[in-house]
Amino acid sequence: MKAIATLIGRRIVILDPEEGGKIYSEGFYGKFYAMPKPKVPEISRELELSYFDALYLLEKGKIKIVTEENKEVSIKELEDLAVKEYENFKEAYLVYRDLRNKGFIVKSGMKFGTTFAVYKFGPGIDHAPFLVHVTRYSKKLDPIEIVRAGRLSHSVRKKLVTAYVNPKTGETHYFIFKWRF
Amino acid sequence: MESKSDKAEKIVFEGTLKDDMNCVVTDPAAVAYLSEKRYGMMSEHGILLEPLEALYLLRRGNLILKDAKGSTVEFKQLLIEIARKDPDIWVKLELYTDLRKRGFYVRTGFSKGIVFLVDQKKGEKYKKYLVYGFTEGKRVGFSEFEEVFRRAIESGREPLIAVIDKESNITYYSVSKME
Repeated sequence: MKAIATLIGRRIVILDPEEGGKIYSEGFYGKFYAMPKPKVPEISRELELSYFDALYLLEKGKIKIVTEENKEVSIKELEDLAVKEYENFKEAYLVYRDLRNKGFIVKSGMKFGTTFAVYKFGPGIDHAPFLVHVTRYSKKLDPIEIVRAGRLSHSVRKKLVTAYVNPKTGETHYFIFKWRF
Repeated sequence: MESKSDKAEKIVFEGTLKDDMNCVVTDPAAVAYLSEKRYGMMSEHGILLEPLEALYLLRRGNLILKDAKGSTVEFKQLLIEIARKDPDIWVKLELYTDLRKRGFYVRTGFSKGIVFLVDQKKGEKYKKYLVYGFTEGKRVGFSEFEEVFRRAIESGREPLIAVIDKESNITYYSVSKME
């Protein structure tokens, strides 16, 4: 049985608490309503999915997305919507998908100032995630980003990875900058 | 800050500026010093210093530079002359000086851009770097960035990025690829 996620305006929510709990437990997808850090694994609440989580789960056939009018949303329609709502979605999603396919838990890195926070086992389990910042290929690399990344990675606890997608090959590249001297 | 050994050995020598802005040093003692410190290239007439090396040594007080007619060329004159052809000369001089002050051997003329081959003596061995200068406010294309990385690895050197800010403050970063 696929979980049903509903497009509520611009956001995507699994309204059935039980289905929400199940999806979350499958890979720390989404965020429970009004609960930034769930302490207990078995939580039943509405679960909001980011465009990244939603597209990934849709591609994997784990969820079905419907509009408020109960009309099914296709992969293509979701992608188009995400591109409109989230700058550089395509490249960021390729990075997200690559990391998820490698078995990592990919969460928002916003509170660290990056695109993603990536865990080996999951938030609350790993001591510290590594941070992945997706940079737009066409925008090129600003040297100040190297400095920022180098500063963050200098602390022992976290590593900041700069990621970009080469549009010619579709390959994802990851780099770590470290302050040296 | 100059290293102690540099101060102790500081010597002064004459060099002749050529039309191509390179500089020839023929005095045997100077040639021996420059070759030990890895400045310039050996040529049949002595050591041939590149414009940047000559500029550095001139500023440092080692080099007394003469033109073909025997007149003295001041640091300022040479700097302005080089800058006409190389708008990055000041940044290059800053980076070159910074690396030399750190006791590294620095080779120029590797390619376009702000690029130096840098060797750091560690005991009997050398740690080899390829230093690329990226200046603040100027974005670097990812294809160029990949090229930096590839060339460093192919030449058996560790890529180092020198980020040079608006005041020519320099900070060095290592870059590693994560698969």
